[in-house]
Amino acid sequence: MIPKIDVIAEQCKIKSTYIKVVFFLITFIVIWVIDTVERIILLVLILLAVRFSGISLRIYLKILSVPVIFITLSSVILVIAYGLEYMLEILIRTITSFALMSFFITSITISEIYTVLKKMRFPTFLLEILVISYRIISVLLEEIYRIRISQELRNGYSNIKRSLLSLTYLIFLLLIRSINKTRTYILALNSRYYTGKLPEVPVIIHRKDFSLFLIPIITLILKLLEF
Amino acid sequence: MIYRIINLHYTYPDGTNALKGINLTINKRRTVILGHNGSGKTTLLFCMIGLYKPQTGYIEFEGNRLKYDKKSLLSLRKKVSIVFQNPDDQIVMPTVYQEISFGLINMNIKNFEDNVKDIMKKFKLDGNRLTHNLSFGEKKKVCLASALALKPKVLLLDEPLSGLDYPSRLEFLDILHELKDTYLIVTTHDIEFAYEFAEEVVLLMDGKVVLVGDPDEIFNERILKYGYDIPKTLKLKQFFNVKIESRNFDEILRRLKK
Repeated sequence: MIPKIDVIAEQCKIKSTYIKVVFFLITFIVIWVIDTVERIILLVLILLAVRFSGISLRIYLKILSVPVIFITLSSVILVIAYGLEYMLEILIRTITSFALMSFFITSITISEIYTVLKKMRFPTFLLEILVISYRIISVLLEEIYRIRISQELRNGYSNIKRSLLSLTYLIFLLLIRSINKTRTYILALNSRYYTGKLPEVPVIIHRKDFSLFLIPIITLILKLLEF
Repeated sequence: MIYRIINLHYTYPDGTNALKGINLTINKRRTVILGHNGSGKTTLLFCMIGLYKPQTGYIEFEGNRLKYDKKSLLSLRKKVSIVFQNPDDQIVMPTVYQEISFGLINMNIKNFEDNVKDIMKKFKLDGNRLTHNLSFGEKKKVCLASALALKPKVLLLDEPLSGLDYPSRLEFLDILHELKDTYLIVTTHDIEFAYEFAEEVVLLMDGKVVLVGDPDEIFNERILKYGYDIPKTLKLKQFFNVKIESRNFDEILRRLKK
């Protein structure tokens, strides 16, 4: 079972928010300027970074396997339409990009994303929606879990008819509870005089985290040397 | 005098009449509002912090009548904080650090970082942890920490001990006992806690105040007719017919053994 993405991100050993974001942006550009062989090397380096960041490689590979069906189907179509070589190039590029994206989402929490976006002067109202929706989604997911467990314990999903009925009740209950939760949420915000300001997380920069930049640098050097 | 409540009525939009003419003066350091479920305890606390505006009657805080404009509410909430019964209803931020600094930022308190760090150290909290991954006891602790970070003069606590295990309960009580300079107004239905903790007990029944007074005055035969029992600590004192000022069960037992 894959634990929640934010739990994985919370336990990531690389704590320097800015370094992670800059690394992601630089490496994402690098993926587009290098060739297939360097992309494979980059993929290996990303997997090594995952290992050293404390994220379980097994869980990470499970996350990477999520788009397998989509990639397989696309690959078949690409082979038929453009040939094997082109398919391999697209396949490696997709896997490397997805590996990088997965590394980003499994190493950075929503609060860190919020802090970086705020520093980049992203519109405040959008950031407000981002943070508050995240909190409400996590509360609603807990509600879904509780209602579902309660229904399952009383054979709510024993056959298709009952499953559909239980699902209807789940959606209905969730609607009612989300309205109630919104009310209490507004009270919680007002009790501490909410004026639209949301706190950022303290930004930490560890010197050792700079070693992440070795990944795009090595890849670029290999490209320059025409590896 | 901290609070003076005059003829307070509050009816919810669905027509539920929660408070039916509350008259109350609060001036003790530790006031416990005792009442059964649905007696109006939480509604009263929400009225006291200006979250609910009463239809009839009014509230005076430090001698000034409560107003509901932005400026008055800001000055009220700089002095009065609240801890909700259910921590999931109170936590609004993704991380512990953000949750504790939330109120401070919105009240334009400058250089709050040290204050937040001190509070986190005192409560042994990790600021980087995500709030929805915390246990119930930890969530309660975060809520109390975020309320205390504002250094309030008055702290309103809605059922602070409900749902806590024994060690968390002791830890919570220790923290509350340490708050010497803060006025604590606590709601509960736990008579043992009310008897031990309170300097004054207010008994709320069906939206009305039925008894007010010192715990030793309140907890006698009169309280039986409201569906409460006499606390076991008091029963112990009465059984041995001793005059011990302390209301802590363990301390009384220790002194009786001596």
